[in-house]
Amino acid sequence: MHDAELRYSIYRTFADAGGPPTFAQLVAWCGGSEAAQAALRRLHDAHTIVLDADGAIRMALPFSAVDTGHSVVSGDESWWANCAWDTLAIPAALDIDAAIEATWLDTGEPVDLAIVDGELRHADGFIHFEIPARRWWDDIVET
Amino acid sequence: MWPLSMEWYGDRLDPDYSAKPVGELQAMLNRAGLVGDFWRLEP
Repeated sequence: MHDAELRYSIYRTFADAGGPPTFAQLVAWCGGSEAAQAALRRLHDAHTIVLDADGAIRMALPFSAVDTGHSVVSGDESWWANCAWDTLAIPAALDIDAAIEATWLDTGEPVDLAIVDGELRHADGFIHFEIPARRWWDDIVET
Repeated sequence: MWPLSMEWYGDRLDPDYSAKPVGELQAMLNRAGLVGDFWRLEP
């Protein structure tokens, strides 16, 4: 499987299953464990996905493989987002309406945001970016 | 941020997706009103 196909398969799995493919799936797609690890590393180095310290998929932006406290919910499906921006990015990427489940950092209150009929509802509030754009990829997990 | 999200991520699930050039990403930020040194993608 070419890297572009693998990228798409990883993203499709996040979209359809709410999380990353299993290592067994990756091995099957890539034709072996070493091939899968090498392909994941190439995608990581190209900033296509993000691996954790153990080589597992941590992010396929805007999707997170771990619970971050930022969730996007649509019907019976849900996805973890990496950050506040990604809670908007997931409905955009999936072209869906969705509710955002997160809390405001300053108050701890639940956000009341949703994408309804393709529009952001209750758009009050703001997203705080701490890190300058040119440094986002210095540590994308921290960003 | 919603219009920016649609521009930035709207094609992420396309099978033929490829990373956008930095200039194109910078233009997206500019259109969203995110201008100035903090939002500059390149040194």
